[in-house]
Amino acid sequence: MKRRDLLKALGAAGAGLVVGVPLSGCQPFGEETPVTIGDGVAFNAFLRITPSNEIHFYQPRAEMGQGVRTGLTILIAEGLSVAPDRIQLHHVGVDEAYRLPGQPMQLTGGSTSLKDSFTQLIQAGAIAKAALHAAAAVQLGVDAGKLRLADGQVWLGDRAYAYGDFVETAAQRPLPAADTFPTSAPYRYIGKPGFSQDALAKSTGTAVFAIDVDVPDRRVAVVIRCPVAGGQLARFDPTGVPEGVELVALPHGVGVVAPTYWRARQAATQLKVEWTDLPLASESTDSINAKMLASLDNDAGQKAETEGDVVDALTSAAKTLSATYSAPHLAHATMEPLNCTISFDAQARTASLWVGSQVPDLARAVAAHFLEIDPEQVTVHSTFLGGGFGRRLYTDFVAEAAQICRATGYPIQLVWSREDDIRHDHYRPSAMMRFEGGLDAEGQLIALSAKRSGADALAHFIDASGGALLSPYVGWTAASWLGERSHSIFKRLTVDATSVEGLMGTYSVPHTAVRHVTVDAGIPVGFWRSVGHSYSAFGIESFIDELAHAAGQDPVAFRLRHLDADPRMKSVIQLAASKAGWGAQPSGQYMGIAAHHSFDTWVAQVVSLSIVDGNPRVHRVTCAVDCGLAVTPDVIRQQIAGGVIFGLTAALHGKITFKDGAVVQSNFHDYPLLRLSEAPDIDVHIVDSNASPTGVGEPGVPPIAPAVANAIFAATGKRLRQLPLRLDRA
Amino acid sequence: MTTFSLNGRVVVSQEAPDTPLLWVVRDEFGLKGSKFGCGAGLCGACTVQIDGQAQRACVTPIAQVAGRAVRTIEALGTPTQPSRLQQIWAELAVPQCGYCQSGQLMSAHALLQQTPNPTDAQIIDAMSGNLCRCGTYDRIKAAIKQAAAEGAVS
Repeated sequence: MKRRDLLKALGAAGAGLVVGVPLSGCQPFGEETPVTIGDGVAFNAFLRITPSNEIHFYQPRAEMGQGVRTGLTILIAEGLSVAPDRIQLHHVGVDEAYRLPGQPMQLTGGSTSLKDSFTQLIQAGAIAKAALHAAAAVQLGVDAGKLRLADGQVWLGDRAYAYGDFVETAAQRPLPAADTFPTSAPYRYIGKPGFSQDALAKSTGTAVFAIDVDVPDRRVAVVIRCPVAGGQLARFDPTGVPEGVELVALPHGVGVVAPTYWRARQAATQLKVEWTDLPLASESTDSINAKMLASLDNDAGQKAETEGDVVDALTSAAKTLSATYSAPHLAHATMEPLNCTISFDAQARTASLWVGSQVPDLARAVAAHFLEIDPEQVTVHSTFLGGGFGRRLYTDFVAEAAQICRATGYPIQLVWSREDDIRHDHYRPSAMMRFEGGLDAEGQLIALSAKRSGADALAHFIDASGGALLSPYVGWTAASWLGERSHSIFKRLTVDATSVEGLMGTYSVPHTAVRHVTVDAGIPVGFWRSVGHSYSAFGIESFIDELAHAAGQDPVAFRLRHLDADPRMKSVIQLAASKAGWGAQPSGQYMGIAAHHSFDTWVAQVVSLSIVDGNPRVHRVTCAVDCGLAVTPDVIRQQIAGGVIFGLTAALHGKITFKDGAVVQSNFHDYPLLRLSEAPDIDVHIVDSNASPTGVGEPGVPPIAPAVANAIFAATGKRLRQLPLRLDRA
Repeated sequence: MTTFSLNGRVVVSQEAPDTPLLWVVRDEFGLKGSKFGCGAGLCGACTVQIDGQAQRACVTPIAQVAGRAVRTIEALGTPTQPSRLQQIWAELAVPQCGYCQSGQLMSAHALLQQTPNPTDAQIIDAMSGNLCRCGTYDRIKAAIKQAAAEGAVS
């Protein structure tokens, strides 16, 4: 990357001052020295320090509540040896310097940020520290060995100097090599409590989300969309729409543009719209479920993975068990409805996009495509995200805003309603899973097979994002065409890994097989917090519980005896069970356990519940997590507890259903989220570890549904195999 | 035209009388702390106080607040001068994405004004209309209990 490009990237973040040597996997390239522009010196793409001792961190990941700004700031702080609360953060726009090492774009997802940035950001700080160290030695005329850098100061004996005193000297000197900085304990800031980057801004209503962005002369747009995905606009009758409201025909709907959201929304209620070409009009949840179930019986599907000879082993087993589990479509329901603001200068052919996105480069490409300008001419202004959970990996709302902006010429803030959000999501795909297990005479599991039917989230992502993903390489039309091909690739040629991930757990079983049948009615589906694990853990961890009972063994003991190859799973199960008091619950309460490995993190959860008026009442969830080195213990506790609540919403309430191709639910009255009145006490215990740190945004979600189902079985003897868990249907 | 008090200042809204208070506060008066979540009074992200009572601004027509006192999150405190309740919220690191927290704080503040030492049942009753998709409920409860113990809201 060129220096001027990085300048642009930082400029987009509102810094507008400085540049330095970008890091790609910690190797500086481009220029050899840091650069002074304005009143600061940038040592790399992430870090700028001013003579007045301001420390600026250009933080490239999307902050959607997962605490990435806290976590990554601590890495910079550790490398630079400065307290994290001394560091000022900036959101950055789009630039290749900010891609995660080895990734093609600036994606925030898959619980990857901390894991993939760990070495890079410690070293980004350490490079600056080493440069300041060398500069201080020169400037003070002493041997570098006489200086000590700690807590943001350069110490010579008992005299302290600010880092800022040496940045100008540092800017004249070559940067030290990047591979001289260890990233191992002891740590000064990593693992310590008490720092939360955004808590005060978010407690005073001052954190800026995209919906809070006000651009002069902007108009607000809402869109009336075809209730059936894929349907097209036939015609609309604007009679009754007030003056001053503009209407924009879109392929799949009508944009309604007014000076304020409320006026646009009111005008939209006056509009009569007709639709055509409704490809899914004959589909319903019942018809889709029937196809998925039939495919488990009749379609061999594709082989995903296999070990030994599961058919033979099942035949020779002393005892066999089979069970089928199902999970419905789910909406993301981020608290901040989807929105963005776009302004377009038709003369200069430049644009600005304010958006909270997990994929800002794709958002930029989509805006550029519909404005018919070069992506480089779109400046992205990133904001806080009012929840992501995978929904903001999609750019459908940016496409709408860009088209309306292009058609009207106004700066456009497009705002979805909650009804839009619930009815036009990229849903967590529904799933059916059939497991078969074989136990030998000693109750040891010798054979385990799983077959999942349902749609492929990755195929849909590639299709939905194909134009933006692939247009750097081929034209937009060809890129979109290629994107559509992903469906048949994953249906026929290879299994979408996200469709079957986690189905086997990590148990040691000599004979295993995983098969997959793609059954896709065409409902838009996508990545939803923890992706395939969100249903696969429900299947495998319920089934393991069933096997334990069939073997006449305690569910904890049964799991442990099959986990010799996965000591980290063993230890989280033991920790959660011991902290929960497994086997010694208060009278009237019942426990269930589940454990799952996802995104390189191990989580076990013990649920304690009772049955109140025929419904499960979850009192306490005891969690144990092994995510390697705990960089931010408080964020880990936050994320695992948050994952439990997110997963409990799905376990107890979550269900999107289709009738005549349209979504039945519309808002929180019929797509309820867990409320404080239903929230259990949650304890999170973190395994002490020096292993490489891994992510925690998603791994708290998968175990909770099976842990609740297993506790319900303990309480009632009823085995619920369908999500959401409802005793009145059992 | 509707005249009312907004964070202690008399203001006049030019919007139509059926316009929800939320959009008047956000768009006409530029106070962006109160959030749009559902537009139907179901999630509490828009919660403000009207004459000291927690109310859902997204379903409150502006005509209903004529002559009344509206307080939004901006009146509780600022990053440089936060109220004690907001400090506790930050010290306990309650927020995750943060989008619902203005509404949570306005509900919690109204509760503590009326009930300085709420029971668990009173906390549940006052706070269960405020949804949080990130699942910060355990810390919300803890923050309210600490604020009550300190007498942070008088």
